[in-house]
Amino acid sequence: MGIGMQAERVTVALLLLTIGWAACAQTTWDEAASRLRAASLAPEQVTAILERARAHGLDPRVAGPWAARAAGLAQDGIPSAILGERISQGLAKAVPVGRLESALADLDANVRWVNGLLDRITARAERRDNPGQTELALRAGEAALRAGLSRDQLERALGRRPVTLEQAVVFSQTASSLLAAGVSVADVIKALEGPAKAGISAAEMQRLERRFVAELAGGRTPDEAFEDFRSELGATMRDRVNGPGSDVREGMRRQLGHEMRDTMRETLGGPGGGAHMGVGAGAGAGGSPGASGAAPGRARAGNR
Amino acid sequence: MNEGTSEGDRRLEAWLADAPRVAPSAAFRAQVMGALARRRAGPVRHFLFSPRILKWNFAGLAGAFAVALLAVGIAWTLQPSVDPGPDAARVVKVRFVLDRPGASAVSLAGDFTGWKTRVALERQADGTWQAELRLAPGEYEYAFVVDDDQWIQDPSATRFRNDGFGGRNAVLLVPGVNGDRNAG
Repeated sequence: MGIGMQAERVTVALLLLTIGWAACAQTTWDEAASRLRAASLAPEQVTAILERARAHGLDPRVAGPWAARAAGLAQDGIPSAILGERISQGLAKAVPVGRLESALADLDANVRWVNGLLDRITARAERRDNPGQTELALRAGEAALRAGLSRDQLERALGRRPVTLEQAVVFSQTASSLLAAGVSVADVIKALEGPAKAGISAAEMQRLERRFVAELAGGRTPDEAFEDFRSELGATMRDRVNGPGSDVREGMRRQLGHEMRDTMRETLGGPGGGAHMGVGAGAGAGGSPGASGAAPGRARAGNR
Repeated sequence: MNEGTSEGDRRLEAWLADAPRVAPSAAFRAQVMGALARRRAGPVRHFLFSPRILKWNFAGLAGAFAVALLAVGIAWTLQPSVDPGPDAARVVKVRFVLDRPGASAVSLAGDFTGWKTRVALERQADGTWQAELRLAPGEYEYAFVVDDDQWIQDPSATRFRNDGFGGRNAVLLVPGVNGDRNAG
């Protein structure tokens, strides 16, 4: 009877311990979720991240540094979703936690640097009025760095001069697009630096990148497609000798408008102010950012 | 007899005079008015227009709330789950193909799925695996997942990018309907 009662007590104690442990674990995952949500990550993204982390048997405390990093980005006005997506990708690919953390540190540093670059080369008013475009420029810059450009090379690819957000997006995307196809970094910089300094518009560059990608999809080799890209770019540059086209003049007008608004805000002491912008010849042009052609390889894209 | 009756009347009168006066409740008035109305109007008119007093308690209220909640839940569940996707007017159909006859399952993950492996490719008669997605114009990174745990690059893609973890993703550029791309 004594042994039976003891066994019963041990069973009850084990049961209580299990319940207590489960409750504590749940609380910790809940805390992790709260911290990630507080860092401006979307609830569905938080759910997906934590579900994967649990599925991999990770400790909930692993989310602490992620939340801190995301909160830091959000505090500096950088969308933390970019970080959340990288966490999701890393967990999906079962990347070890150490390597994931290291990749997040790189992403954090790069996206902050791109943000600083945008602060220097684009008008503050334009960034404030176009948060979607600003996020696209951050993503494009980070992708260009990930594609193989150094920070200095990315600055060179953007011409080291004031640009519109559209130009920042398109030039960064064009650089990473060329690199993704296997064009060397040196060739990419050589091809983009001059046109960027000359203020080739976003629309013009977008058209050329779209054609480059379409040629790849059409079966041309990267070398052939890049040769065409360079040749077309050269022709565009030569055309510009005759003076800026209407799209370039429109870009200049918009750039000047943004700068005037910044200056007025600074003078009147209002919010915003402070972007130091010069107006370069032919800065920016209309048109959507980015370029597109056909889908690569056998991922076929077509309008239906 | 008369005296007895008078005495009884007086006692009743005195009792009534001393009895506390009670004001009729709103319900009583409504019932009276309802009865009067019933006499004047037809049954349909009475049903529609005669005033009613709603009597409630917390249990009844909770029950009504539960029924309403259940109805909303059922309606939510039954609504057609058509997700037009981002910018439905401009989405583009993209077909993904992987030639992997020996695989038992192939799925697709990318930034368009939040890196969830929820898009399963279907095995074709020729041994290839295919899926068709509707994507908004833009640039996407993606990879195939074979047999649930093997991440591979699209062997037929023409552009790739470092994924930040030491591997590579294929890069897909989806053209817009007019050749442009979402500004995000």
